[in-house]
Amino acid sequence: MAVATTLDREQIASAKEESQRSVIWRRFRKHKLAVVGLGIIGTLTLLSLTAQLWTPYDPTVPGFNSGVQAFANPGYSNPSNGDIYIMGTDNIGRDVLSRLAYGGQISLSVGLLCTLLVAIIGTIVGAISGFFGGFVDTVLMRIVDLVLSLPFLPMLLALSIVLGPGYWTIVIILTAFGWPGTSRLVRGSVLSLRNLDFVEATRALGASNTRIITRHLLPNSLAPIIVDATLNVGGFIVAESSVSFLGFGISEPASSWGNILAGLEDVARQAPLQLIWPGLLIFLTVLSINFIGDALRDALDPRLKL
Amino acid sequence: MQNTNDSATSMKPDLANDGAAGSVKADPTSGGAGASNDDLLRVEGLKTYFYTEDGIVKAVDGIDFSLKRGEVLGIAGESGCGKSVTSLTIMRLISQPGKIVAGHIWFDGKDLATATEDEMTKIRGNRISMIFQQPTSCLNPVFKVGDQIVEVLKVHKRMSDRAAKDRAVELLTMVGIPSAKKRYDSYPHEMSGGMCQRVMIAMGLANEPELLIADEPTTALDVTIQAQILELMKALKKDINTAIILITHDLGVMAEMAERMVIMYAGKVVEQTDTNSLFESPKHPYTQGLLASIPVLGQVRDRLEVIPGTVPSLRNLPPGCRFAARCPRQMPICVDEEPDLLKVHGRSVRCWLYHPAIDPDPTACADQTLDKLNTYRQTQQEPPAAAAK
Repeated sequence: MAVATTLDREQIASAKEESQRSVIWRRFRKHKLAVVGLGIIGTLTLLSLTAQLWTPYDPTVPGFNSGVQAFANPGYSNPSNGDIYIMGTDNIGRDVLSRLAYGGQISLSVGLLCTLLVAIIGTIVGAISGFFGGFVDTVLMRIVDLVLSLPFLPMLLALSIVLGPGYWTIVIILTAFGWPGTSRLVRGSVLSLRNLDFVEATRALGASNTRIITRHLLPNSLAPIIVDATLNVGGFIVAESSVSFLGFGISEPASSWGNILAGLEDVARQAPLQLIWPGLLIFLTVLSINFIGDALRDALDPRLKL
Repeated sequence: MQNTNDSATSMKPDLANDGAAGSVKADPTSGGAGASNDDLLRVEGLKTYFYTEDGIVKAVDGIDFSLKRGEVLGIAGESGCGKSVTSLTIMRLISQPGKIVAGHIWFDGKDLATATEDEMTKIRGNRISMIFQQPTSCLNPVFKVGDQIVEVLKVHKRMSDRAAKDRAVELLTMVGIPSAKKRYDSYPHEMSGGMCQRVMIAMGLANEPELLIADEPTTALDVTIQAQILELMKALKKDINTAIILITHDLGVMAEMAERMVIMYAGKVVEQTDTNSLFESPKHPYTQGLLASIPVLGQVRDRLEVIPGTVPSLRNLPPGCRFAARCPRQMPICVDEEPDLLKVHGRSVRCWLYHPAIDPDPTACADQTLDKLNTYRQTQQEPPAAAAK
């Protein structure tokens, strides 16, 4: 923690925010896997976002269709026009690479958006429940119990039929089923913090309830929230994939990693390795985000010595 | 807002009636040079009870004291006698099963006992601050100490980030933290207990409060640091003329700091006087016992003096004097009836020994004493204030 004192004196106020950020970054970098994970996520996100620019074929149009057999293996080159399919095609001849790139837009954004929403809702509900306790707590936690007791998959399928399959349906459903877990976690954390001495001391110095919750309790429960959120990202990507795989999520011809997997299932007999592509992306994303979450938690906790 | 103001003004006459009819016979404060209006804080008949499942805990059971601007008042007593609850009650930080059931806390003309939470939020940390016993656990572990001081400043005052930061560094310097600019960026866990207590004091004094409540501020610190912290509080008190309520069970600390002292026992004030006369001639047997239990330097003793027994359970208090069971000078009446706070030579003592109608004779028969007391009371009925001799 030895900071150059001369530097310190010159930039007392202005440089402080930046130095805090650089401290976090320095601590984050100590987790090598997290840095790799960040690289992977960054690359995947970038490739997905720029899919319109670089993908060779339209993901929704079967470009390769030579009669009876629509499917092509990776690296297949169409003799008639010289088109090359690096990752092959799916069961109806659409380029897998292009579909994966476009599908990434949906899968990644569903994962991140749901995580964000769940973290926000879960944190608000959990903090209120844990801090105020009593009647408020009872009501909120019974609602949580109710949602948690619903069987996830049947409810999800039923809801997606009612709301109609689509991007926002998926987001709404996954968020609706995701927040109770987070809120319980936050509640527990707030519950264990709210009777600590520093909360009373803060109150004695004139902090209101809102301030105590937002400025003092939540920053102290950041670690579990981050870990929970990163686990959620993976969970939501997988959940979206499963729902889409079952045909209730993102519907054709739009692609997501889940329904690409579903499309390739038909060709699994001829080319089982084709299933690896979407699977690999899901796997890499989930793993990377978990590493990032781990490192973030450590980097943001000033008590940990790294 | 309107309501509380109204009730504050309308409650004063009520209170005067209460005082005459109830147990508060000799108001220790207004008895002096006329009801002094320069009191910063006046606590009257304050009762804080905790309604637990096992019964009502009368943690603070009708206490009165007052404090002038810039004065240091010590509150002393054994563990569990209601010192801390008193301070938390003044701050209105008593939570759930606890409740203020009676009394007033007049702070600068306003009754804090009935103030709204919003009003209290504005007062806490601004006009009344508090510092606690465990400095290390009273700071938020995930924020830099400097930022915590800035927060206290910005909660109560409109300040630019820059100004608040400069002020925080200034405060850290003021409480004697070396290289304050550097220490601004430290986290609580990087500091020692003494340092943390300095930071707490800096936070407490950040808005130059009129009253600082220090609840055993040095108990968790080692002796040398203790002395430093006390010196610091003394010096700062002079600088910004803050009144201090110092709560401690350490009478040595008291002697050092306090101008006046309140001795509490089992939720009641048993003696109140200025520090010098208290140490010179303690009146209440409990105070005498407390003073006797301080080891004196150079004096050889085989054993330390102790007051035998323990504080009675606050759930189940005896009908008579609360100290009677442990009192070396117990009289029959002590067990039956609780004494009032009596004025004796300009101080207040809650003990039958000093009652004008009681013969402090341990062999006196209880019935006789009671008869004497009753006739005395009848004669005193006409001018009620004359009890304070």
